[in-house]
Amino acid sequence: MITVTSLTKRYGPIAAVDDVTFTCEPGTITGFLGPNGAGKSTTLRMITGLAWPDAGRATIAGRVFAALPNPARIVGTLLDASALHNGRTGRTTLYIAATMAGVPVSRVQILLDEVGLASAAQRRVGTYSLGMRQRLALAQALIGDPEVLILDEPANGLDPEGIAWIRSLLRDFADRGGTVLLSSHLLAEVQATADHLVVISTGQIVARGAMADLLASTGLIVRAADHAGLRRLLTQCSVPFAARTDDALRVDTSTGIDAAHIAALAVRAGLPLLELRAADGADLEHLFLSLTSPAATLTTEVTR
Amino acid sequence: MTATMHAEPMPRHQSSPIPFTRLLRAEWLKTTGARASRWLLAAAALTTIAAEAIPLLFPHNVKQSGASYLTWAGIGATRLLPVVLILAMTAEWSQRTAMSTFTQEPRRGRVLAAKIAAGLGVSLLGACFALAVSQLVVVAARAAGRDIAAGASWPQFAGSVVFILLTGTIGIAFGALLHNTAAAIVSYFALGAAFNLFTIPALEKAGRWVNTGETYGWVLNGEWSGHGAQIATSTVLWIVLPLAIGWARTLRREVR
Repeated sequence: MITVTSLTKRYGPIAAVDDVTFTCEPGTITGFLGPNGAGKSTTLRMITGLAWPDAGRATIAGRVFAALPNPARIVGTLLDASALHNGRTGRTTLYIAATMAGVPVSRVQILLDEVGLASAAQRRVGTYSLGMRQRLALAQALIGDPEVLILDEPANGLDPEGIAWIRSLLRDFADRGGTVLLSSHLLAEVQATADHLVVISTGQIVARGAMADLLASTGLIVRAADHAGLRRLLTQCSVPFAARTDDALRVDTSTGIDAAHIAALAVRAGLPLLELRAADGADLEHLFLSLTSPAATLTTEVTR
Repeated sequence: MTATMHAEPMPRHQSSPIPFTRLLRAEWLKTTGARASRWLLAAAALTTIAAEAIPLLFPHNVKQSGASYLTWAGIGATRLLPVVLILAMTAEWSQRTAMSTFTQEPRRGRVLAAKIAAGLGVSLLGACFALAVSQLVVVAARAAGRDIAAGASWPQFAGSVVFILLTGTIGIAFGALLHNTAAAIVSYFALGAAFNLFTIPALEKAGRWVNTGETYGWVLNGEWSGHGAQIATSTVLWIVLPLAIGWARTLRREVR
């Protein structure tokens, strides 16, 4: 459980982080999004005790980070995969982390195997690719068997197989009751992994809530073999929609229309649907850009 | 790389504070675990041995006594040792590992204390090595027929150990203050060069209070008496002060 309350950080007259409040519940993966310079990393640094807020506070498992007796047993952090010592081997890196955390040394080999670095363990980190550094940094975050993970761009530099692996690892971690806070620019990846979202722009929160709710407000994708029939049906039922470049339609759900409603309409009209789903991928991108572009004034708040 | 590894439910560890001994072990691993540190430690061992060549090869210019061999071993040991300790102190910032270190132990003062203790431990090992080398060389040289006066006295033994510890601690202090490997190494050697200024007659008097080349020379030769205040002054200037400022800086610095 991560609780961030009115967190504020100023550098000179500029508020890098301005009154940011959100919580990450156990069993969830929270995607933390925002453009470069929005204050994501500063927020994560304040949560992990590497920087000090001017106002507000952040707690993990009920305590501010600096008051955690042995933080690695509670919270694993991966803030920058390039912040590893180039002169140490992968194994030594984990061995040092295990020593500090006070976990059995056997965990080093377990984690080397788990992140797929067993064969490179004796090589110096300086010879590692970015993807290997990410894997090592993730193993370092996991060394204390924590219940909370705070990750900044963990998929950066990973190959597609690695991205799929980290997704299942995080999903599994959350399903076991863990709490994950995940910052990333790979929006499709966030959409596939996270179930909650916090979006910040110029230091302020512009959206937060359950991913499904936030994305629902951006629409549904509906497709039928009988394209003209579908258009006719939606028009008759006064469902607002827009045509897309492919032959699918995008239904505006801001009026409260959901997928069940569309499905019911289609069944009643005897019109088989080929596709009916939340607008995704480009649509998280659409949401992101609409929220974080300088012109955006909209604040989206969805609470459950 | 399987998801099934984690079938067990999420742990809720009741974490207890990290004992200092564990921090010390971690800092010891860091000080001796990187490739650059290992090479430097090996090179420091070699310069310790090589320095013994000076009394061996120049019997008419260098006093032939156990104390003299000990002095040269101490000088040899302290050429590179401070650099090892500078690396240990600055790597957290230059290699940016402060990020993981301080998220594992946010009480930064404890980490710093463990680092200093590990550095002193390395210096102490270096001192023991220098003592052993000088004794072995003296025994071997005598066996080969060299006439070497009686071994070093206890004040001289103690002096050479303290000398090596103090010289290493200058490296620790510079590293703690500057947070940057290159800057700390350059400053350390620049300081040594700047001490040459104290050979100018007008500055000679001041040098006896500031120049560790001179004040720690008394330490090395076991000539403490009468120089206590001067040794202490130079120690405050080049160890206590930079260490105190560096300590405060480490506690406050934002990790990026």
